[in-house]
Amino acid sequence: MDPEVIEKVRAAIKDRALYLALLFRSYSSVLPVQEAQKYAREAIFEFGRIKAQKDPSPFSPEKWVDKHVAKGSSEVFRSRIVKEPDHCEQQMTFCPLVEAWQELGCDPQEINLLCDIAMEVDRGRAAYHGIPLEITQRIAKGDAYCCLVLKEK
Amino acid sequence: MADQDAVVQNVRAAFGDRAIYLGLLYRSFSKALPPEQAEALARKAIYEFGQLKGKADTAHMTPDSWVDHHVACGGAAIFETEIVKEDDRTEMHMTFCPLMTGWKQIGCSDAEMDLLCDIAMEVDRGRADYHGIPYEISERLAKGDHICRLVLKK
Repeated sequence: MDPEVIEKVRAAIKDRALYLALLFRSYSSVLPVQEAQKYAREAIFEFGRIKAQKDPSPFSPEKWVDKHVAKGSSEVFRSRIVKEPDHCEQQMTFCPLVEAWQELGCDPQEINLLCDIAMEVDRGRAAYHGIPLEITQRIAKGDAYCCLVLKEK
Repeated sequence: MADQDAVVQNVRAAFGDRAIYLGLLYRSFSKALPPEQAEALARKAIYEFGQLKGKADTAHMTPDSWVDHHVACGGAAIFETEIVKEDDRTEMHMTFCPLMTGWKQIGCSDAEMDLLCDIAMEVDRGRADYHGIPYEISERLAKGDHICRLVLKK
């Protein structure tokens, strides 16, 4: 992917992250945080299911990571891909969403929560395909990279 | 020089995703809150987003520098925008909306799309207010007009 495209896509992803943060903050001003979290998670999980509908069928961990690379997302998130017989890993070393939340002035706890909510997209997509998913590391909780472990069924 | 078609295609897709985010979050929170409150809180959030965009602009933003920025940053290609500069105002006529593509994808009715578009345009209201620029949104694709017309007054 051309560097200009990568920068523009990162900027658009950052705007989406700001949407999430500002909407979540706005709704959290009238709802208990647990309840606000539940509704936000449901929405983003659904977003993941919608994304999944565009995937080829049948889908697999290998096809997931291959698509991540083919679409250019691996350049946007500076991802490393690991393929093993029983699972594939997507290790993202850069996160435009975290960058946006930092610029908004979110504290580490809020960034951690917003990231976990945003990752409902992966949970929803994996659930749609029946792919067991583990998110073992997240930049937003202080890890060096985000790690999606997609297991063979 | 990047392939401009690739830029437009990728950024439109990202705008569509953002629109879906708004649509799904709004729908989800509407289950917990009365419609007027769900709408008001979404508007407040997106208005603040506009104020943040305003803060990120150069100081002394004018209607002309607003549209010049829209063209220079590639927004005009994304939204297929025609620009009209007059002595008393500058107008942006957007003939394509990638957000509507996103809302159609999640099966929004015309009424829902009209509402989500009006909420999404809080970004322009927040940004214009930040700069003290009087504005009018006189036409919107999502309410059935053939363009979105943003009038920025001098």
